[in-house]
Amino acid sequence: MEKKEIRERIFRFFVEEKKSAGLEYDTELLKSKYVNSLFALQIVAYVEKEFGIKLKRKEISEKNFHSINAIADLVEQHVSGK
Amino acid sequence: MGKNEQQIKCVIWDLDNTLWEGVLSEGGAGELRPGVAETVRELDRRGIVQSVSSKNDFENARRRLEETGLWNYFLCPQISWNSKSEGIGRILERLNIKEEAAAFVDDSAFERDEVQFVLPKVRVYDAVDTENLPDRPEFQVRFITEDAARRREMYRADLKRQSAEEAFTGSNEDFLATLHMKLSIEPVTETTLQRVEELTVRTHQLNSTGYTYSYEELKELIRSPKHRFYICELADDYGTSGKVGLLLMEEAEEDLTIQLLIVSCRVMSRGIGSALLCFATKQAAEAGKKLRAEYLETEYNRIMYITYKLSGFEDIEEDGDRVLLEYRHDEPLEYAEYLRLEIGD
Repeated sequence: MEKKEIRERIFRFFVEEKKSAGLEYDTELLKSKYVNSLFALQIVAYVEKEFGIKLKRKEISEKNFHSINAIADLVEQHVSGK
Repeated sequence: MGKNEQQIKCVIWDLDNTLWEGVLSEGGAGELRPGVAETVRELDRRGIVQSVSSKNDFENARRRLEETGLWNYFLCPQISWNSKSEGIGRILERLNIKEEAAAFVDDSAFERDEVQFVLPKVRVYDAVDTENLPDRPEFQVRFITEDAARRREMYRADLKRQSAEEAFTGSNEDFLATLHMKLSIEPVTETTLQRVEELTVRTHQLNSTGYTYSYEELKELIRSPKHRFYICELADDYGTSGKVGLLLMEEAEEDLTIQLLIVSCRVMSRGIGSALLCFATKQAAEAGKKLRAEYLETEYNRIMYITYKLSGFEDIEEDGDRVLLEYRHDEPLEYAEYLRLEIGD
């Protein structure tokens, strides 16, 4: 799976499930002052289920989740490492 | 507390030959079975919520339940010709209660097996056990708190809020802004201590360590000069949600360490955990100390770890299931705009 496709799927999740408006691939997701627990869990759970991966504790970080691009990079490492 | 001893938070009833004698659709719904009314009222008094999963015509069943005077005790009853397990699944989803904390009462062994097959962690009981249910250990509560007494009404308000959210077309944050939420954070005192204990025992998902304390230990913590111990209450346009969160921090020379961060699962999607974390970062900043947090992984609480990690905390020590985290942003977190804060002394 190419990064482009991964990125588009994650983007669609945000638009459809989170009803996020005006979002771009490099929008800072965590900058919105707070992270609602449910939102945090939803992105992690979504990524794991959608791409069939299991994230390690250290991979759950602000760096890896700060934008759709960052999440897509993380997923790509997992998918291509298989 | 082991998994199987987990307290029951929700009892779901069958109707025909369980709640009442006979079969309604065959024109034969008779009187309530012995002990039913008493058991329903007693469980309600303890703050155990109840519902119905039954194969019947909805309107007819509702009319009969209204006649018995029990209709108002049941939250989002599932009365249709679908399977019982499907009804139960829907109830638990809407109330955000785990299978492990649910009980189902039905006279039919076939129906109990069906439920057990699809939802293996739900505890099932034969209708003949109705009268004895309140005596069983899994239905015991240590105290009947103010929150327990209001729990059914608070869940009902939650259901209304949920329907409003489903009908809302904007983002989750936009919806939260329409609620006009007010969060009051105040130090734990002896008057709120029973609710504190209840929250530590009832909450599994939004519980950062799962530590439980005896009533005496909790009392000590209130007096301890080395601890900061807070409880919070949430209210909005739909009414009060009661006391829904706890924050316990231990103070040392150079740091404040969060030992317990608990938020009631009933208010999971409303940003309360984040608000308490924000409060903690501000307290640490005012004291000029580092903020740390203990996390102890359990079967259910990964959500808390993720919350810490995506809110500026990083792992500094790891030992099996136990992690020590530290807040690494330069500035404290900021409260969400949709929440109005009241901090008491």
